[in-house]
Amino acid sequence: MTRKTTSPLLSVRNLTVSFGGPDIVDDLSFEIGHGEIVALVGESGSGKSVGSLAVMGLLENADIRGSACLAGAQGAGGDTELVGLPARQMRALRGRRISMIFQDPLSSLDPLQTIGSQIREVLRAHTPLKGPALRARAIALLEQVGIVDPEGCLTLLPQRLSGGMRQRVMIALAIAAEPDLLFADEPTTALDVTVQAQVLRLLKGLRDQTGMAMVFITHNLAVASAIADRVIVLYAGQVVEDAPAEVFFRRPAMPYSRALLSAAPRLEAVMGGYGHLEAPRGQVPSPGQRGTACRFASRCDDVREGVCLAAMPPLVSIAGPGETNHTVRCARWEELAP
Amino acid sequence: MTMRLPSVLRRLLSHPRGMVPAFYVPAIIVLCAIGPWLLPFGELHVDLYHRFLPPLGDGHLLGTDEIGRDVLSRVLMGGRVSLLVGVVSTAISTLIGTTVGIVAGYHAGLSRFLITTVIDTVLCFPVVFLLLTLAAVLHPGIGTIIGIITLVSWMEVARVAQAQTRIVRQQDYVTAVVAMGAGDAQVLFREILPNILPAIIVSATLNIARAILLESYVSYLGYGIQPPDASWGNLLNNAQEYLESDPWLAIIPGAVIVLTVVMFNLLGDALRDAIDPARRGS
Amino acid sequence: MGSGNILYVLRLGGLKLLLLLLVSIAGFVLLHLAPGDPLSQFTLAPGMTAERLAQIAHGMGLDQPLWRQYLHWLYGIMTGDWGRSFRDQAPVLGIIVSHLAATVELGLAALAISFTLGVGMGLLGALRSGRVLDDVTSVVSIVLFSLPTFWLGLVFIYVFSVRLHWFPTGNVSSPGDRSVVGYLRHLALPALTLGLVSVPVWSRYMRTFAGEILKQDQIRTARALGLSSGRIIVHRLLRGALLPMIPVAGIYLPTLLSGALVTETVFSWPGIGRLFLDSLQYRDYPVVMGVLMFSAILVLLSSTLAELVHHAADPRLRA
Ligand SMILES: Nc1ncnc2c1ncn2[C@@H]1O[C@H](COP(=O)(O)OP(=O)(O)OP(=O)(O)O)[C@@H](O)[C@H]1O
Ligand code: SF4
Ligand SMILES: [Mg+2]
Repeated sequence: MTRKTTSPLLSVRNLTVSFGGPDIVDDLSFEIGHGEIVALVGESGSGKSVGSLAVMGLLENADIRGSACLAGAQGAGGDTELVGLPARQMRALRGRRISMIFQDPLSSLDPLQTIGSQIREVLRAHTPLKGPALRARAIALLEQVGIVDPEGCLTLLPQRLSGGMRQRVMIALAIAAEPDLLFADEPTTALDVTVQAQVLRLLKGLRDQTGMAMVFITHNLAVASAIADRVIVLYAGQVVEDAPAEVFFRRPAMPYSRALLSAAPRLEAVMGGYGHLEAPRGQVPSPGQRGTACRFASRCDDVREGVCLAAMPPLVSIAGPGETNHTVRCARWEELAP
Repeated sequence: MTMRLPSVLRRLLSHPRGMVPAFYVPAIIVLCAIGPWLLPFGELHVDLYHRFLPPLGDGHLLGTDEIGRDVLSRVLMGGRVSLLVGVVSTAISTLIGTTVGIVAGYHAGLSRFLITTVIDTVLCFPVVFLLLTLAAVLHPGIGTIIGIITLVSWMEVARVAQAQTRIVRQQDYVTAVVAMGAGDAQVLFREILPNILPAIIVSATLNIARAILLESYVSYLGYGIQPPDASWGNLLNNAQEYLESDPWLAIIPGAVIVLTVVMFNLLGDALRDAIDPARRGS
Repeated sequence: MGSGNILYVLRLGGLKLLLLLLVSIAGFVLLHLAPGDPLSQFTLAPGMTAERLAQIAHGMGLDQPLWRQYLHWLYGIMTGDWGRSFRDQAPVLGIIVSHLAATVELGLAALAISFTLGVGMGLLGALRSGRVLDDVTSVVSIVLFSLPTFWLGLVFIYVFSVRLHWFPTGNVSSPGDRSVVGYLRHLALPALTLGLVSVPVWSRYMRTFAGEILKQDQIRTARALGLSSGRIIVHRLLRGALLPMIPVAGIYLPTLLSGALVTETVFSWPGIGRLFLDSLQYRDYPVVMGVLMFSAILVLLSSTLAELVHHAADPRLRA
């Protein structure tokens, strides 16, 4: 009983993904609590999508090692190890326990089926609903995601909807079977600024209503600050910082996080403007050339020959007693702490 | 996608699907060109004492036909004609097709509309019917065959050239060159032609395959190259009669046609992949 | 939007009609300038006189100026009078129609074979993109594309009739045997020949269309939503890829007709294709022109029909 509230919903341990070549995602570890919204941020190519798809079991031809453990559903005990789970069982979990939405809702939806038929398709796959009950549930779902004329919407093809509406429909599909965890891979990147804000509010509202946890992948620190309870920063396939949102935005511990934050426009300005994540100078090492030292060293202003280049800094917990968990991967975090 | 020859060659030869045809095609051309001179029997040499020899029979590697002519000599001589028809008709249709295609692709307007609709519509017609009608009413001969195959082939090339020209013409850098006051000729020869060349080469390679095949149809049906001259198609002319007793008379020339056409088609596909690796698989 | 699209199809249809007219003029002129007089068949007949010949020529309309002959012929085409055969004076349209059934039966059987194999191969290649099976299906497709139809027919006859005695060598039926099984045994080899050589038309387009759909996010999304792979393949992949295949059917018919001509010759199959070749040999111009026009009309009708069906079947165009 007490275990339920303290143990995480999803616990990823040493997740490593490669496609026959170098490791794309390297020793990834993090946890997602029940009902928690976690922002996964990082530059392009840092492995945000690959990591999430690996957990969802949606990667083909990938070599996946490590562990991703999903806590049992409410009432039904027993955790499920997602890595190496047989395809049939994985499919039974997708949509029902964990679900995912993507950046481009137009290409995510079937262009040849009406919205109604796509929602019914998903509901039939996961619920015993039939006939009028099915239709009622479809309408309720569309209402839940803030579609004004749900009955009219049922008969439309995706191409007739605006980008924001499409993403709402996509969200309706993803939450149709009331999953416990939603991966949202840059769900607002393709949308106008005002629509972005609406969709963010919708997602946060859904969490408040249903208690669904969320992994929110974004390039955009302003978006992260608007929605996240916690922020995980990925760099070159590794977690480099994992902190509660209010701590992360006030005093980030990793030089990379700091560079990101200072490069981004002032937060208050950003909230209105949604500037994209500005990368610090230099380039991320590509998967083949990551070496054994701190991967950020080539771009770090605080790099020190001995400490930083000797070995890969481990991910260490820096939270004080009583504080929420905060980990960072930097050999000099203590010296550099303000 | 301008071509850099060494890297294209390297990619072409790096995969068996490119390497095999890249060796076969020159080999068969050389073989047909000089082979007949090296063989002891002329392709027209009749020897009624040695009719229907099976392959390997009595010094005839591929046997002899119904009047004792050496099949290998006839296959090689036929190859000269078939390859010549394939290459020459492709050369002419490529020239015509590229010119028409560039004209249609360069400027939007009536000419593009007319050219594309006419081409699309004519390409709808059953080619073999057209070819046979033309072949039947004209004097048979190698010139006629080349002419009529060219007539039905250039449109395919024009379609490719047109589409490619439109793509290149819309590129930002070409727009910039035009905006800086470059003349049509300069844009055409400096920008368009080098950029559409790879697609044209690929299309020409595939076109040779098609032309060889078409020649074989027309000659097989008796309207192409006339006996006693050999072509790959007319070697099969009356092979059906002897199918029961002497099947190799049909099987051997046909197999040579298939092999050669397959190789040209493979070469075209492999060239396409080698020129533009990103396209592979699509 | 829907009506605009249909208008576009109709306008294309109009253009095709115009082109048909041009083709008919060209063909008519060409055939009449050809060497070999249709009268030559009568000159050697016993007791033939110059007056008698002139009479025959007059009866056949051969003494009229060419343009009048053409107009006369065109008017006839539109009113159902397609002229008479030089060979036996039978009405051309009647001859064509009497040969149609054989070609349609052969064509349908070949269509069933090539569509099934082609769609299957294309789908397989797309699903196994970049792997061995993709290479294998594409090479098979290239080989089939490179086969001279007549040669494949000869090889089949040799292997399956001469050697194995599984099937008869050709013709629609054996003398005295009118059974369905007998007919099907005669149909098998020509249908297989024609079917196999036209597989690539379907397989190449299917490979492309299915490949495009597999690249879209909707497949990954459908999997993320927990839909079964069977449902995804049938409802998303197959449905989405078959839809743009409808216009391909319009491209397919000319390939089929060209192939039928050769197949019918090899297998002595009494269809339109053989009729065409026979008539060409006898310089039976009315029949040759008739078959040319008939197949052209067939192709244009079918491609226009295919486009209309496509517009009706695609919900995006219907809306
Ligand atoms: N199927 C695949 N096969 C091989 N490499 C892949 C595959 N998918 C992704 N990669 C590589 O993995 C790396 C990480 O990609 P990923 O999409 O996870 O980055 P990302 O953090 O989501 O970036 P973005 O912000 O651009 O979406 C990239 O270098 C990419 O090229
Ligand atoms: S370990 Fe050194 S190089 Fe790496 S982030 Fe920390 S200070 Fe910079
Ligand atoms: Mg991504």
